[in-house]
Amino acid sequence: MEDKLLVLRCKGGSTRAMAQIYRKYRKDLLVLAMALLNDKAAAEDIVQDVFVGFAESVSAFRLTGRLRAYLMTCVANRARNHNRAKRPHDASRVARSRDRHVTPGPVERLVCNEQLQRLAEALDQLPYEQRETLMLHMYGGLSLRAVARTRGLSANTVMSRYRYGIEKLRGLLNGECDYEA
Amino acid sequence: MKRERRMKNLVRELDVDIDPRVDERILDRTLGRLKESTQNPPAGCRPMTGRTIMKNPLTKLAIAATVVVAILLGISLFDSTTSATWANVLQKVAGFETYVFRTREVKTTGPRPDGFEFATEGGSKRHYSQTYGAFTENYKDDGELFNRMYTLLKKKEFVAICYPLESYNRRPLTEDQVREFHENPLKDPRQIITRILEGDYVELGDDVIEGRPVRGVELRDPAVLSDGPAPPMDDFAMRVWIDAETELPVWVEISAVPEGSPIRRTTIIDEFEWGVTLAASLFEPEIPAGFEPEEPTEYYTDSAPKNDAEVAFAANTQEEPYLSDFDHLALPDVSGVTLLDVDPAREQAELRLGTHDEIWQTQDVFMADWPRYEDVEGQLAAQLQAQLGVEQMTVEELVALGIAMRERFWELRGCTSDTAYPYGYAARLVTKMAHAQAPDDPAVTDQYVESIMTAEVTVTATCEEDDEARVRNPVYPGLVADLRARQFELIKTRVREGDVPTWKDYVRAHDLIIVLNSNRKDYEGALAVTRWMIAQAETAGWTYYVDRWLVPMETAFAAGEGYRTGLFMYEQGTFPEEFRYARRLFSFQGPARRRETLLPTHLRHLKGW
Repeated sequence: MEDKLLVLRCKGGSTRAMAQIYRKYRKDLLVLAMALLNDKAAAEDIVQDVFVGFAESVSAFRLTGRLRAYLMTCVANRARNHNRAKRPHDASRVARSRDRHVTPGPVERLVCNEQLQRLAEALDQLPYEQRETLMLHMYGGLSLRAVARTRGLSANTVMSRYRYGIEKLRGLLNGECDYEA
Repeated sequence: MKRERRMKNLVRELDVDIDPRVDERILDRTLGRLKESTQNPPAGCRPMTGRTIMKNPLTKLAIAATVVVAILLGISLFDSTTSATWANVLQKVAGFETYVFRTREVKTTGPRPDGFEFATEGGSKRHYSQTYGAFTENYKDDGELFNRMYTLLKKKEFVAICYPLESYNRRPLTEDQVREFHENPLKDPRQIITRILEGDYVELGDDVIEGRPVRGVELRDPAVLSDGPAPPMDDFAMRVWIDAETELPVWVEISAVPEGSPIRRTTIIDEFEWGVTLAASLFEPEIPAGFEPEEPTEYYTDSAPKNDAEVAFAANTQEEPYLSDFDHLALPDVSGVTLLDVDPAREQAELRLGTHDEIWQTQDVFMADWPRYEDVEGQLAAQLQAQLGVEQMTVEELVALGIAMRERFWELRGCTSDTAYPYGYAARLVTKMAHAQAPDDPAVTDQYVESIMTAEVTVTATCEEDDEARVRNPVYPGLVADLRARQFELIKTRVREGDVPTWKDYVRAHDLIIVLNSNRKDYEGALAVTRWMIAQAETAGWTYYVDRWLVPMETAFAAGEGYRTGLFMYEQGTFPEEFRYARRLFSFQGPARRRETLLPTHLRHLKGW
């Protein structure tokens, strides 16, 4: 069923419609959250927060664009806050990357073949801002201008992040590792 | 680019396994929160009951008024000298040369028995000066300035500047208009206050509005507002709330449901600034460069019949309104009939819909869950036979049952209901049975067409930007077109035999044009019917429609293009409720209460529309 109709139905209190929205997008949101955070428990919490928040505000919610893009942006916002809050207490991304072979991270759960495994690892090594831009654009389907709008950044900044991210990702996938974050 | 595309495709392949326990937990919490939030929505989302809370952007500065019964605070706001208080109010408001206030109008259809509520909102800020006149700014719902209007008493001139259209209008004020400016309660709310306080009002007690203790009175006599006889009302109330300290009005409301109307209209006047200084320059309109004077609007109000044929056509329309052939029948009580195992008493979600998009999308949501008529027709027929013995009924009994079923469908909220569809489908089935008994009776066919349209709209998913994504209902180019085509052949035969076609024939033929044009894209067929109608116009008396609609339609169809026109008019105030009945052919009547409000377009002069 079309998203706007599902949202309307949710406004009327339909749990069935909300469940449909949940089942339609939960996986997408979880993939995004895990790609951004490389922390399964945190990713699940964020997806839960996003859906619970959506359910809480659905009465006043007005869908002006695509629901998937909206939910993706919510996940990205919460993931960014989580990342910011966690950063001072967390080991550096470099260290985590190097340790991954010792303690398999949840990023492995993102993939089901070797090529995707490499992609997931490469993504994890990108600076957060570049990873976020790449994921929102490539996976979330948001235009780079939309990413810029949701982040309050100029389109040029976002486009630069995207270009640098792509280059770095390509290098990482080709084995040209770069641990600068 | 190719490599980037490959990478994008790879990223999209990312997948994850979800732990079922986590999945269940998240969903449970989400649904739990949904239940809480929709049962206790935020204040801004609650249906408007009692004092109306607005979301108009104009109100952002003053947020919506929060009213709390002061008694909860244990505060006694007034002494016992209440009559002295209200006398003071009258004296005070009469003494102000200037004041500013905000006016908003809310239209709702709720609360109604079917639990429905529609709302539209608008707002304006008015500056009133007894010396200079009035300066008003009207805002659209999105907060954008729509126009500025000036009533200039010294210059005796009215000026309106319309910003979206970049136009303006200047016209002199007549003496009557000047007098009305001082006496019309909606132009000078002090008149409302005076009329309430001079009338037989009832004390409402103490409240708090926006943190300020207030006291209110209410008057329920609509005669107070009109100088002549009071307009018939199903409900009416005027209320004034005054500030406990200043004894000045802070909130005035007029709430009315005209007799027989589904719409409650509430006018709210607040944000008063009594005695505020208003500079003379405020009443000097500045027309922005490039704004054009407005062209006079041309209305087609001159529909009064001009010759004998037109007079006869108008008389026939009034004497035999479309779909009136069975008005004499007593309708059976079908309130106890349960069909297709759907419990009609099942509780429905409360809805508040303000725009046609919201109404149509909501209808689409409900209708998507209905079974298709074709899939339940057999089951329905068996149940109707078992409960009502429909197979033994006469044509009239079947039609009466069909009308009763349609009314039940609308009582249960029509296309925005989980429980109404069995009755819409039953109406279709029993009028189909009547039609089978009397296939050439045009009045029975009209009933059958009306019943089909009751639970079927022409197109769904109308919110889709992509026209191809819209879902067109095949019953219109199929069954409905066939029924109207058969009627048309019978009309032509009758006319060839010397009969004069009637208003009902016009409606039937017009429907055929629409289904051929819009639903079948058969412009050639539509052209043939249109030309027949033009040829009959002088004899039938429907010349009103020739130049306005029939000739433009002929031109369009001859060029292989579509063209649409209407048949009936409805009062402006019936929107947005009216959207419930849209997405059908123009002949569609809907519930009986709506039928009474429809006016054939060529009779518009009767109501001055």
